[in-house]
Amino acid sequence: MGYNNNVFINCPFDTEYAPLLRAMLFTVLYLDYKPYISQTISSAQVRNNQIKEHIRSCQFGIHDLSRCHCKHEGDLPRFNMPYELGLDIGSAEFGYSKLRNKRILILEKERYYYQKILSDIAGQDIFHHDGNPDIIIKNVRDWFSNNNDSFVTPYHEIWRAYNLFKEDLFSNYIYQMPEDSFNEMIVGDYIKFTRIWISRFKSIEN
Amino acid sequence: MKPKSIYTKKLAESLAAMATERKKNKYHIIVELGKWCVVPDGKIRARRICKTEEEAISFAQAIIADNTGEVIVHTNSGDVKHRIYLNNQ
Repeated sequence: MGYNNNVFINCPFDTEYAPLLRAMLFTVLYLDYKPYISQTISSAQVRNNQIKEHIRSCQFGIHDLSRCHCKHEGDLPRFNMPYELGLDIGSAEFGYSKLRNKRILILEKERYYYQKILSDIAGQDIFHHDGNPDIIIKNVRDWFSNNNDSFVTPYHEIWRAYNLFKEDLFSNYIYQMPEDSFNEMIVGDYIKFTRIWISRFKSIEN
Repeated sequence: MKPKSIYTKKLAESLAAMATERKKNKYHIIVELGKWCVVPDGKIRARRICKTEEEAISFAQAIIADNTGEVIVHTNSGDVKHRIYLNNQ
């Protein structure tokens, strides 16, 4: 596994977004790619430098910009995600030659929202998901398929496996942990659980 | 407060065991692009794709041998919406 199998994921990490992030991570792992997310970075390290390091290490970048607008009146918008998207696009444009083959997927909640407020990103791969995990899985899977010459596992297989996985993970979790903490599971733990489940699940003939 | 890691080898091993387990009389009703699929536990291939949730549940209940088993109905986000237990006794 190396640069060509690495995926930088730039998205919100709050509880509300967790169902979408989990669906996205499941898809990336099911397709045998390795996710890189900024939440796993040690707090002792400088976050910005680590994000740049992730961008340098990953051929693929998935950027969900659906949460940059204010949730409540008086809130300030957050622009970390568009900033990181800009770094990723910039690295492909101006970075060293290895980065020229970068592939970038931009996700948004509502169709054409970002083309209205950030029209310069027109021409990129932009898909909307309406806040639905199944659409995230389909978008991410289809995008990998479009950027890959070899066979990519079909959407229905990933989606069905994801449903089975969620039931197993939840049932297993609530035996030992309080049920209401399920959505607060840290991303690093979720990735480890997902990876081991997928590895075993794929080892049996379906 | 920063959430703590809950990952343990024991949790991971029990989850891994569940990934390979196939309960014979257990079916999942999975919403997929506006249709309802009846999928046997631990499998990918659907036994039937139905137009409605009710039709899918009825089909799953009908194929459960000895009328003893479980039907798990999933939401359109993949969570478990409810479980239907069948018990012959």
